[in-house]
Amino acid sequence: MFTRGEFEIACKSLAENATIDNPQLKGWTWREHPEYGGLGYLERSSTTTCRSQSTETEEFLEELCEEDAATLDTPSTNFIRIWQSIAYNVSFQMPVFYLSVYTNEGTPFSLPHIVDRTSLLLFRPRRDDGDGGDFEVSKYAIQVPGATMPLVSQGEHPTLGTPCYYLHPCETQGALAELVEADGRTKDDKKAGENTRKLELWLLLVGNAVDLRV
Amino acid sequence: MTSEPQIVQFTPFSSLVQPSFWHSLTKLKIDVLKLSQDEVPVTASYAAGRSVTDRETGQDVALGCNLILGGDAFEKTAQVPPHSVKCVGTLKNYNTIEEFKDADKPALFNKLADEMWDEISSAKDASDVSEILNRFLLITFADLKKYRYYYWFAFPAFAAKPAWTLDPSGWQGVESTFTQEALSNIQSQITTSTNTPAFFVLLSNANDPSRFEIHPLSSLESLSDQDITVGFIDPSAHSDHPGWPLRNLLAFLASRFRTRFTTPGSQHLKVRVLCWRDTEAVPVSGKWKSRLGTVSLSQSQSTLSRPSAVGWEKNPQGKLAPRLADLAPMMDPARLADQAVDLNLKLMRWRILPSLDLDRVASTRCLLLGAGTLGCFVARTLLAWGVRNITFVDSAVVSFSNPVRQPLFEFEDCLNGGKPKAQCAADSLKKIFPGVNSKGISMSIPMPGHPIPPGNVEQAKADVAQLEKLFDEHDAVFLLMDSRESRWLPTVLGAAKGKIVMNAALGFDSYLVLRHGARKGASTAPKGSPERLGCYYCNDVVAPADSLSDRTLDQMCTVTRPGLASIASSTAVELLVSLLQHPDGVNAPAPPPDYKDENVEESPYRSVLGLVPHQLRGFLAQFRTLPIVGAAYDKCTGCSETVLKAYESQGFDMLLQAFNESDYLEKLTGLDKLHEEGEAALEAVDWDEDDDDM
Ligand SMILES: [Zn+2]
Repeated sequence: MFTRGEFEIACKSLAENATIDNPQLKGWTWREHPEYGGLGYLERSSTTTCRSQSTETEEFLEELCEEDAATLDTPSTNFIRIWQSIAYNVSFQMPVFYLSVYTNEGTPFSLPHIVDRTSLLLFRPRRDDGDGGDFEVSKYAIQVPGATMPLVSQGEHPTLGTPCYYLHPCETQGALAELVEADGRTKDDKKAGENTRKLELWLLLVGNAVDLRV
Repeated sequence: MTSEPQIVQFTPFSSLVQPSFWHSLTKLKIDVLKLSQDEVPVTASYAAGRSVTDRETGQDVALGCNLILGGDAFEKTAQVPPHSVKCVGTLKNYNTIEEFKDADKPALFNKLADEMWDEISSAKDASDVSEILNRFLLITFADLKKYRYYYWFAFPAFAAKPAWTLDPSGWQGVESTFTQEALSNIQSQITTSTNTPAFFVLLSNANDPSRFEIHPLSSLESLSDQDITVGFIDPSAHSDHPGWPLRNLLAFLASRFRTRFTTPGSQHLKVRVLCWRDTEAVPVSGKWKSRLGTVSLSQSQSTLSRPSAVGWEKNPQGKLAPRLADLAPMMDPARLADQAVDLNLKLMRWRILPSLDLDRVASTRCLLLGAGTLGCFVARTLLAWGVRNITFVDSAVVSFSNPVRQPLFEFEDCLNGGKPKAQCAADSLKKIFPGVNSKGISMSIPMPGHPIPPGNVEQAKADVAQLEKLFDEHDAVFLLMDSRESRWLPTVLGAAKGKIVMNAALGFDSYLVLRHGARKGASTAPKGSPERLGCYYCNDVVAPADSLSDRTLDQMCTVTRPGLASIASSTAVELLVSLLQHPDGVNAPAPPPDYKDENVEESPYRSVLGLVPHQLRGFLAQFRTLPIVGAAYDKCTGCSETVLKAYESQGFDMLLQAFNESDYLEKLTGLDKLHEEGEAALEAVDWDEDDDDM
């Protein structure tokens, strides 16, 4: 569906319009690999107010003492940090959506944790009918029963090499082709806009599986 | 009556560390730092303070005054997110938790504060002071075995004594002072500069007082008496509390530009401060978040010595103590490997063969009799298919000739007399893939024609009982031993217990791979296919006598072309997998040798993976493989009903007779009579077996 060049063009144009008021399209930044070209990706970060637990460091006692009236005593609130990224997958010739959810410390949440916190609703499968439980969550995969591949599984980010969760591109590939076909705009627009539109449609599909509000 | 002036309270920085930072620290520690505890520069950033809407309550919640560390924190050319301020700090990593705990933290903190103060008071040009004001300290201990990272940040801020106080008008929204147009203009100046300025001076345009211009801090040196506002990108989102960077900015101004900000005729410093918090889209009227306020300091004279500094970060429990990042949930290598194996196979299924039943393969418990060249290669290929239960049986120890040919052993395994092969192979599999359930059992398999001394009968009985139990606990048995006779007992047990039996043997440049026919046979064997397929002994009507001692050394130490074992082993495993995918499983009919596979879906011979032949004989001299079908032989010493029934009715007693009396099996099956008729003609092609000793 995309060559790497087309992917880059589409991503950069999305990043240029990062201030757009659309929860799926806003806030993306284009990043390059520090050493090699052709490995760029999009990323954005967001925070939700859902409280998270921090790991206690029991082995440490309060070591220091600082008395200072000019320091605001802030309540120690923990937020859930969400990092999203879009990278190119050569074998599918498709963008792939990567996700990492962690605490202020950088401690990642496991998939069951992410899904269990229903107030977070990061993954959508159970949403539409309001009836949960029609997909299986293991430590590193979310599987829709009957589907050949898991919807979400753990893998490495192709540029950063860090473990993330990602949405399998296999399902989106066919669906995107249909969407592009049904969407007149991609044909009429000029070549440059075509890829951007395709990427937007792809994000629309991803939005069906993942809560993309930021 | 004047009320007590209100002290300015600053929102402290709170660190936000992305998991990628810990990955980068791991790499730095392993590749660069190693055991060094040197200080290294580290890049972080902060952006204007933000609030988020609580999804449950719908209320705005101010996010912390976040200093963010990402994966490129150690890169010299670290990219900072848009509209963010770059800060450079110092990281000191300790090698042990004790050193981390015992570190003299006040000394580290004071050293950094001294450096900062020296640079603040000595910097020639005020423009390069921005980075100094935002310096920070990070001490860490990385427990790389457990993927746990202990850390503690300090953001030194100079504490004014007495403290800065806020004018009675307090912190106000910027819209009470500036027009929408002026604000948009200021915003575009801040957001379009290549490096977002951490601190700046805001001046009104000389020609058009309604317009404002952003200048660097250094312009304070040359400015004549003007209405000056000092601004900074404010990471705080609290309406009444500016963020941490303002503290050091004010300390700097009080030290360096004291007279400029001193109200004439008084001893008071007065600074008008713009806390800039609008860096994203231009807000609509009424929605600007930036704040404006005037702060004062009653200080009679300039301080030459460094003010005291504060700024250790509190942990989530509100204590002044280190924090912990636990990355184990996503980094445990055993789990990652487990997932990767599954994923490869699933990909194959998804891409090529949607009807491939991977679970059926993975759940097949495999017993490998022989942990030599064939056993090692068979195990590796099973592992790749996702088989999780593999048991080795072998009585030998690893010898020096083994490792180059047998991929589960290393030189080290041969030392001190050699490790037992079965256990060593099982351990090696676990090293390759921790998710495997592999076992090794050191045991020699009793052989017909090899009499058991009376004193060893109990041991032989126990061995047979253990082997019988192993057969019960497994689904498929591979016969990969180094002698013909040792295959007899497993052949009988496999047939009696209805197990899948796979056989592989090697010659110099030829091999045999065969699956034993099931006892019941295919109920609906197609025309041209034998009702019951033969076993290893069916085609070879010589009873398995003591060939070991008859053989010359050349025969004992079979020389085989090195690539043969992996070809034969892989063929054996692939034949097993094809059989498992056939709807009839162990009863799958074998296609006749001349069968033309027309890729017909309904063909009784086809599994998802294609045909399931009975035997494959490979000839490396011609690079040719022949499928062969052989029917079961009713006088077979390994699988005939006579033998099986004798075993089932007499158990160990029958086996003992077979071990002790070299002609017992021939008599039992009636083979002895046939034998007399044409002994010379019965020297069959001898398939040499896998041998460990060469
Ligand atoms: Zn037989």
